[in-house]
Amino acid sequence: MQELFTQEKSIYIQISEMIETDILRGILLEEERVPSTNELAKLYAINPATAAKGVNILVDAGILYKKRGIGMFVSEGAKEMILTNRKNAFYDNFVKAIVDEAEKLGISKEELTKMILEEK
Amino acid sequence: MSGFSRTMKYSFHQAWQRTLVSLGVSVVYSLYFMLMDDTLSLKEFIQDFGTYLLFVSVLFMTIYGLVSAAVNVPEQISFGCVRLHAALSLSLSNIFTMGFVMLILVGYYAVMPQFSINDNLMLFLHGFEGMLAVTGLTAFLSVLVMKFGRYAYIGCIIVLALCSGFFAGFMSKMGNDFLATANLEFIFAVASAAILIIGNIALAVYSKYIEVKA
Amino acid sequence: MGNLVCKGIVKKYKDKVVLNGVDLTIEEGKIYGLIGRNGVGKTTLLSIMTAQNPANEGTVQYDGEQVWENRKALDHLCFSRELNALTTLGPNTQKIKEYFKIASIYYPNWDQAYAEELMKQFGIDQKKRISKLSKGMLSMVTITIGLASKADITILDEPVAGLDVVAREDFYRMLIEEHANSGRTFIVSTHIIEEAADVFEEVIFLKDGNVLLKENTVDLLDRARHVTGVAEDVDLVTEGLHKYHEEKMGRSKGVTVLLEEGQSLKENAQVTVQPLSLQNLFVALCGREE
Repeated sequence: MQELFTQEKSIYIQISEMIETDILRGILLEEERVPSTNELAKLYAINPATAAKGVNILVDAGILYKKRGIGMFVSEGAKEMILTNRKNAFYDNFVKAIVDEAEKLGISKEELTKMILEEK
Repeated sequence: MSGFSRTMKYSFHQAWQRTLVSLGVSVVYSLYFMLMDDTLSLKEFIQDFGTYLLFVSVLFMTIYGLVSAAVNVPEQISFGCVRLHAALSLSLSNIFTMGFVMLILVGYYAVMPQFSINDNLMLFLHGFEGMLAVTGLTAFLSVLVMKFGRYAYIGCIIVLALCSGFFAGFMSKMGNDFLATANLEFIFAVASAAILIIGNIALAVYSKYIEVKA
Repeated sequence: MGNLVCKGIVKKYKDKVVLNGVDLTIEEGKIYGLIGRNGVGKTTLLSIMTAQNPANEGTVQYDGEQVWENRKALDHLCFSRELNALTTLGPNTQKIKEYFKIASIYYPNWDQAYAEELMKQFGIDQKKRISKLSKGMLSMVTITIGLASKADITILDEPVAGLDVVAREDFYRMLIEEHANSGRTFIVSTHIIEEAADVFEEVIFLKDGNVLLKENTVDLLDRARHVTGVAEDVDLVTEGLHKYHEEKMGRSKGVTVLLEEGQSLKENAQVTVQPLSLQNLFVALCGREE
């Protein structure tokens, strides 16, 4: 949870990704309570409305759920959900960029594939 | 607490601090004169101390009054005080100071067995009137101080110092006699009250334009 | 609690118009950042909003009531402004303790225990005289007054001026914590934009005597893009969009755009599109005109 923020992405997206990473790493377990938006705001010195926006992304995706009056909790099967989402986004987030960049540099698809196979 | 009672509390706080300073200075002042003048009898010294206290208090009221204009009135407004109340606090502080000084004097003369309160009643009355007039004049001149800043400040201090000297004269025995013979007492009383009221009206009206600067 | 609403605020100094019909609504419970260049009129606007200066035209209302000369409304407001140690008379020969005493008289919700707690955290002795304080300490006293006033709408004018980076971080934490505990409304005017950007729910840019924009910080940054590349490509991609701060170097060009609802950049692999920090966006929108 203690990662620093970068300029490249909106803060609230980074908050949601941080929580996801924590779930993947087993720092937050299923059915465990997630820090409240006020606690997140105080921890990172950001506005609670921004923290809330980040948390709501995960609630909408079903990764977190709200228990009224108590707080936010990690859903059952959240870990699998996150992995699936990230796998699906893998093409858009990583592969497309590599293919485009390789094309710009004049690296053929065969050369690219060779590079990938040789990567340990 | 209602708005006005807050201003009262603030003015009260200011007043007793000023009274203490006036008292301290008068003691030093009169001790100095007593040491300087071997011919001064104890009775005369005790009598004079009362006058010194009045004179010094009026002097400090004028100085503090103008300081208030430059500093305390804008300060109160910056804390969200209603401007009218802030403007009135200038005279309120002086009136409270007057009250404390009078109490001290009454107590002082009551304790001194050689003097009767009656002897000094006129002294108190004129002192009181003089202070009212100076308060009103300070309120009026503070408008100039707030508008023109430090340039007006020096000029107003001089004017008020002269006036307080004038009133101090009236408060002394000489003034008492003069007023008694000339039957000016009533006029003096009415004039003092009028100056107080007019001065404060001018200040209250001007308060709408006061800008609290950084 | 209520909203603070300004309508048509005009302020002139002699012939110069500083504020030109400002309309601004401050909603309860948010932390606002008021950002603008030196001399644009931030302090003037804030002091008009708290009845410390008279406006030439326009009205300021709190919860539907006029603020001017209205104790009921003023009781809900606090404007903690920069203290100046240079003045040798009056409050600046006072001790901090005494200054707090005055605050306790005028702020109905003043929390003395909280004020002392903050002074301890800042490491300042309350018996010190204000004229003897360093610039940083003066800022800390200003911050303490603002936070401990517990006013519904609290305005802090340049609270971090003179604070070193660690003290600034302390301030942002104190602000967020107090906001989280009480839900009070805060308006913070500042020059140090980037650090404070995460703390503001909404930002207000003041330019040329008026409000250039007032928007949720995250939403604003989501619609700002910096586009760079060969000049012709950049022009193609940004056709029809609001452009700011065009910079040319040789054959390349860089420009900042703000997308409106429904707009987007045309796809083009030849240009680089980056998000902007709040600071960069402010410079692009309010910096020197070409």
